[in-house]
Amino acid sequence: MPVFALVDCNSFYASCEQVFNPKVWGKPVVVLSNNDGNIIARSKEAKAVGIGMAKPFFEIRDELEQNGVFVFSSNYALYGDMSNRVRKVLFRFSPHVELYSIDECFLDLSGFDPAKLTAYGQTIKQTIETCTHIPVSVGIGATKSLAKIANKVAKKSAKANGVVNLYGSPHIDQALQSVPVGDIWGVGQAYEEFFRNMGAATAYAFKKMPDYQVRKRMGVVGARILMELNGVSCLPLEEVPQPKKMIGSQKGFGILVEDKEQLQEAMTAYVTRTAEKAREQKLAVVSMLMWVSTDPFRKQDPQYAESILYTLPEPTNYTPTLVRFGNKGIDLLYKPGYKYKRVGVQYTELVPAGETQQNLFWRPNTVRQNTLMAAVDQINGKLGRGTLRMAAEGFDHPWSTRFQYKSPRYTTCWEELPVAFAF
Amino acid sequence: MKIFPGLTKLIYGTLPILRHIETTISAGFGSPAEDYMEKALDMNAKLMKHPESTYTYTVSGDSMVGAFIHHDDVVVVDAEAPWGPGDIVVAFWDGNTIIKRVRTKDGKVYLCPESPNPIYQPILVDESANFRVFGVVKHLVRTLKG
Repeated sequence: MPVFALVDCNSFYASCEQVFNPKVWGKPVVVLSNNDGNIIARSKEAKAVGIGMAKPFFEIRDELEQNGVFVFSSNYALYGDMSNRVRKVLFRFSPHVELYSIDECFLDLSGFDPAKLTAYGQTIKQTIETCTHIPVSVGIGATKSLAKIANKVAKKSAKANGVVNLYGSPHIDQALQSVPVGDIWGVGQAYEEFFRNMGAATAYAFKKMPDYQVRKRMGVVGARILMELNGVSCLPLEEVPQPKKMIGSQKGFGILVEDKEQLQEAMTAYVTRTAEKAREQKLAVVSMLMWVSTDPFRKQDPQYAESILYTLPEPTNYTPTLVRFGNKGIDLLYKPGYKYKRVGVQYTELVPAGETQQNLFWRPNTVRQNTLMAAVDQINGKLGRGTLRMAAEGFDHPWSTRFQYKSPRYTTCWEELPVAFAF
Repeated sequence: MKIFPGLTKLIYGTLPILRHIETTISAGFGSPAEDYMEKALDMNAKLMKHPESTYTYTVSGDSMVGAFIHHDDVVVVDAEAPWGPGDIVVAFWDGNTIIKRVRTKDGKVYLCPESPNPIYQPILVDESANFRVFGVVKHLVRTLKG
């Protein structure tokens, strides 16, 4: 029987901000999304004073100030490095680790003495907290879905001390009863109301539902979840990440942009970045979705939002071609007289590069293009992103994203190391 | 030909290079060091036993000169190493990050400066203040000539 553990960092972004900053250690902390838009993470102290999730920052700025909450812009260089550290520590405990998200990892603990799993979970938790100062919760179960449930219980229960083991436990049903149906991994808010109306408000009630009812609503995905909650493992560990089906980049502007050229610069920058991502994963773009919009919170301004989907003549990851279509997109989307807040691009369909279908009337010299892009990627990899770039991207980037409250990159930049005072 | 009077000469001029290539092709002894090839020294391996628990801090101030730690030095800190009396630690104390040596006396823990300057005094660690050891200082990195 397989054994899975889910290790989840508590309030990960907020915890990262507390690690190196004694002024906010043990204090309420929130982290804002790109462009300082919404609250995306709250430390447990911030939750305790009643700060809500996903609130627009400008709406609750006063409330934050009155409660003495410290505010940070997102600092992905820091979070990425701390996430790597957590993952590296986990490899000490199992050779099979799946990085499920930036703050969650699944471990395969099959073959460990079931009687010692809880103690092993405590060791994992303590080692991560010693090495990274990031608090974590550990859930253990016979399936990934049960490990997720165990983790939810571990976060809620004070008695559990951060570790809950449901593997072969007589308390599985009790745990399932304490978890709302919408909190089951894969069920979520989309199906929550449906199952509540069916009389299944908890994970336990969901588990007792007949297979055909779940299958009718959620298809094979729901049937799998049902089996997993009943202790039959259907979802194996994914140690090698699956190629992404979609790649995108969208950011709000730090300022409102009225000028078409600046929109084009921003689009070029995002297209370039996303093209890099596609090449990293050896994918070619089939179609791209582009959009622009004004700021919906500025009720005094006229509002406009539009998007356009392009299918390329032939799948490609060649930056200049993609940039040309990006600029064409802006040509079509741009209307003068509006103050733009957002521009974005998403590659909605990708195929493995090299397995692309060729177009009879479009024969680019792909060998040359691939060689050029490989050289550009190599130089940018060595000397920093954006060293070599399309001139259309511009130089000043007055539109670039606002991070007003960003903390230093404590662990990835020599110029921004934390300071220890010898006073 | 009138337009490029030097053309013939230019072609002949490349011949010595061709001869040079011929001679290098025949050279064929493998390097005698090949079987003894090792990786070049890695500074990270020397300074970080466990990179996942190792952090770097810049030092500001001169209260640790007695321990040869100067202003602007970089210290390498291990968050996993257990700390005890005699260790130099980076710690959170009362909302500040400080670097001090741990001493114990009569069952009490002190964070001690190491400096001839009498303005620096030991700090008694009591329950009241916000105290946490971040990690133990393992190495010192100082650039003598940049």
